[in-house]
Amino acid sequence: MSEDQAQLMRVLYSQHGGALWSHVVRITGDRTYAQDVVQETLLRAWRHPRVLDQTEASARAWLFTVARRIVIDDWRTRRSRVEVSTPDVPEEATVDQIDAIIQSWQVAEAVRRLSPDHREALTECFYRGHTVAEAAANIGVPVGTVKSRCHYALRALRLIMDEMGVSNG
Amino acid sequence: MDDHPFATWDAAYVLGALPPEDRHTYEQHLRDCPRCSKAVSKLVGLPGLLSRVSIDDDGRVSDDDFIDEEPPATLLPALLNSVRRERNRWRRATAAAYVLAAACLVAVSVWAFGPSPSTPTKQTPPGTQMTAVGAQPISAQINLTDVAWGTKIEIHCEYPQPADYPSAISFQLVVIGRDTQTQQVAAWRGIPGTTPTIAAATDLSTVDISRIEVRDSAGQPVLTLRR
Repeated sequence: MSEDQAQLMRVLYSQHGGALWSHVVRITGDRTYAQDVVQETLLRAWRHPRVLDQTEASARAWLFTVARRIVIDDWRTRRSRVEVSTPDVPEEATVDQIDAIIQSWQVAEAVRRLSPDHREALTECFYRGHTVAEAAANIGVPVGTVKSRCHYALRALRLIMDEMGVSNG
Repeated sequence: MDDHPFATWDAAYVLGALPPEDRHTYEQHLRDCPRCSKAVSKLVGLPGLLSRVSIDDDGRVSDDDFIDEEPPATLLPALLNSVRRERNRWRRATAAAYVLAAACLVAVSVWAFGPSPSTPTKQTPPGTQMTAVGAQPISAQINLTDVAWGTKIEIHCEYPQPADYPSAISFQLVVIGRDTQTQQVAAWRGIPGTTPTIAAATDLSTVDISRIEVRDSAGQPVLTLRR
């Protein structure tokens, strides 16, 4: 039985450990502290193994949300202990920073999940700032195809982001 | 939608990739076409989000100061340690709860669970009330005991005696595992006015049980216990 439990933790770790670690290092900027946060997050997931029943993206979104909660709660606790002495950054600024980092990660992850055709159209038309005609020439397809690839790319992005729970936008 | 000439222009427009003359044509069209306006309004937030990431010439996507590194080698062993500690703590807490429950039972009274010849009552912890799914001809408390080979289950049933209670109605006890496997672990007939204790067992450990249900003869859940 306890072997199963250990096995569950190994599965969690192998599926999400690397991504969660990288993410927590980013939002905390502190590798010692990140160990505590990642441990606590994975332990919570281990106590609620249904997290793993979802798609990988949803499971990861759940883990990131939990990690965010832990970091923000710790931050508030520490702040209330330290009291007035430090010229404090306003609390919401820190929360917003963390959320912005999480959101950027989610967007990057969503773009990575696009099909190569869709990502190529998006790269041409948005990241390189080309018009649909220039993109069509670069890719070697008709203009109409570029338009429809962009159309379906953004729809796919919407769906992926909704699944990941990306807020606003 | 497919025969609509502008149906797929929304994204190119929002991304700013339509050449000026096309943009002008499309904007004219948007004034008269609720469908396209709606399509555009659903996409307006996306460029802002997309600008948070970049794509390099090799097609690699990254957000600002993206980090991709392996966790330290100490992390997994530390996690497995925590898992072990937590399991042990859980076992001790369960054992303590049982001792406490047994003490309470001795101190209070015995009738609540009915005498059971095979199991001395003082070792039986108080049962957890199962939740009724709608108005049901049965109520029950359930005890789970973690044992080496799985989980011992005892269910204490009560049947109210309304005028229209069928003389004998059958019930099944079903255990649903966290891996969604379903086991029927007992079946019995409910006789109004009696308060039987029914014993059952499963090879699942208590931690691996996600739900226990009492179902009627049609297989519909009537009582449930989530864990």
